[in-house]
Amino acid sequence: MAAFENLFAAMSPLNFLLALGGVIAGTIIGSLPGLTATMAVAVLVPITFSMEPASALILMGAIYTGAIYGGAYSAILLNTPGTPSAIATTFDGYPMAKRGDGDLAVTLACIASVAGGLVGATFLLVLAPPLASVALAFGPVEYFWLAIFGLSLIAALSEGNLIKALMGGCLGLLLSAIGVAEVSADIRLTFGSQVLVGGIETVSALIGLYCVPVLIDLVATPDKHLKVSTQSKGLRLREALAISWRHKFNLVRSSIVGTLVGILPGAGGSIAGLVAYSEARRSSRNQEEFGKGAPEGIQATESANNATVGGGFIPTLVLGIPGTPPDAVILGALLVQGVKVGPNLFTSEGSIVYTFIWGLFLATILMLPTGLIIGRYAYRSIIAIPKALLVPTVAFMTLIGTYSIRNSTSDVVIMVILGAIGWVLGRLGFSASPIVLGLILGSIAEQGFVQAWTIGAATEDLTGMFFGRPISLAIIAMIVVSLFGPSLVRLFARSRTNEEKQP
Amino acid sequence: MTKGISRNLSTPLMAAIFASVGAIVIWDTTTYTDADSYVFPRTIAAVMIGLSVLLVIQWMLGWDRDGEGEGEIETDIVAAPVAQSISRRIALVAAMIGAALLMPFLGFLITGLLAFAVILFAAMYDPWTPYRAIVYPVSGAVIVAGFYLLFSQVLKVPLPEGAWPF
Repeated sequence: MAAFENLFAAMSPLNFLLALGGVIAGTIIGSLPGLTATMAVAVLVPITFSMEPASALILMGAIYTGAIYGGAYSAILLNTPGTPSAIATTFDGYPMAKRGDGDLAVTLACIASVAGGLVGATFLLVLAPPLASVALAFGPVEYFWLAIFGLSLIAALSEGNLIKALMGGCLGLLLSAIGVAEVSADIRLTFGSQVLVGGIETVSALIGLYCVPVLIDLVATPDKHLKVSTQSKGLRLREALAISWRHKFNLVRSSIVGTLVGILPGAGGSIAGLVAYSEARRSSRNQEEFGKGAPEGIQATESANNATVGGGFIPTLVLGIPGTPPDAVILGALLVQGVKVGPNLFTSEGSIVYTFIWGLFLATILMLPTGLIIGRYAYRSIIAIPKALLVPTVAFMTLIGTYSIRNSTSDVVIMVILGAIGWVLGRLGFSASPIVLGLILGSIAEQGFVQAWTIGAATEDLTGMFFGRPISLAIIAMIVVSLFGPSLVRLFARSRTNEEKQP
Repeated sequence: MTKGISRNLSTPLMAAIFASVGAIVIWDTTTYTDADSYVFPRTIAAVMIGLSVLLVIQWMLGWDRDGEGEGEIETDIVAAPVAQSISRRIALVAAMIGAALLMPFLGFLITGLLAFAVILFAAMYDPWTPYRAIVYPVSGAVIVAGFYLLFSQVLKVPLPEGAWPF
């Protein structure tokens, strides 16, 4: 009975409007390169201070889920992830847009995001307390290996040259170390430059490495930026639904992966998207289509990154440990409101929590119509704008978006220079994704590595610290499989083919 | 052409550059006071040097086939066009860096408009008709002003106003 009360409370006209407005605002903000889901929540969070806690949570959850989905637009249409969570969406989204299927890609992303969001919210509703204990089993060394696992996945996905991809990942990790060290305050790798003292801001680097190379190539030729279909195909909703139904297991599996990764504090949507993408590719019959515009790739990443919303709320609400960066902002807002998060929250403040969870369901469902409508206009706008206006507009958005992150012109300079370097590296076979992911995961990896190193050195058991814990060993095994599994499978297949050819 | 260079020279050259970066990082870490500061970058730099050596060995054995692997994911870079304009590329990058450097002196709005104009010319391949000569600059001004207002007034980002004496 109480469940129905909370459901009806979530469906009140005010909460309905907040969920709708939050999803729209989040989608628009998330679609702009440089404005992340964290920023979307942070910018709009002061509005919630005067609200009831449940309404505030619904608004923040709606903004968050909308922003994660909004990141897919620029990933698909401009090859620039609107948020870090959408990195893997570029893999197949942009190739689809280039061949004239951008409308289908956007619709697929919307359906997948809704499916992922619903699965994540369901886990939050049903399994929050037991799943939160999973996060507590992860120590510093497990987080280090988890970050390395994320890197190994992206390296394996760029399997043209595994060594170059790993080198790119190392470069990203080193870039993340630039600036003032967190623990000891040593100034690292700045070589006397004041510009570098503040370090390299992750989202600025992401914008530079993904967006600037595309702009550099766009201005170099008179070719159109995206192929335009000869006739308008509309939303292509029926086609997208048919594809989604055909690959429903991929949707569910990716959503569960996203939820579980979201539970791990700090891991976030970027790792979730990559893990789900890797798994979708591994288990697909059309592996060769991945990276060339496979709908399953978009399904996997978008369902996984939206599932991290519900997953991330699990440790946030049950343990008071934010699962993702936007959760940290939401946690702060809840503390301002006097809501004490923790294991007793589901009993002591049950009405607030369950009203919020139903509100999250509502916001996720509302994302379907709003996302489809906004996505259709985004696609039509991008293909209708002449290249001479699109390029300076995107360039200007990268400038203002990068500046606004830390109000720093140094970040803008670094962003452009990194973009130019990324373009050169791309020409020489070093893709941007491992570098970006290394940069994103650098702080998690370093924190885990240094803590584990310190504990291992103090106990005089460094080997046992890094290689002796069960969860660590499981993650190391996954790293080995992700790095060498595809090559071994190919070698095995090749030797079998050769054997069959021989009489 | 890129492929040929990649096969013959660029791979060992890039390996040397990455190894040098790793060596510079290790050299820099010798000045840090705390083990917590150097243990991570030094380890990663050592791994990067090791990978550079592996890349050279791979190249010497003829196993470095960029983009020829099965299921290669070509995601980050647009396919190389036939006729490429170097000057337009340089103009784009110079305009973006110039805008960043001039922002504190001219203000965000002015530098934004200037950068937009330069990049518009760099990306313009269609002939300039009277319609385009009016609509494109006006559209650019509206876009720049719109984003400027969105960020400065709605999102309250303190954009640089410039060092104007008035």
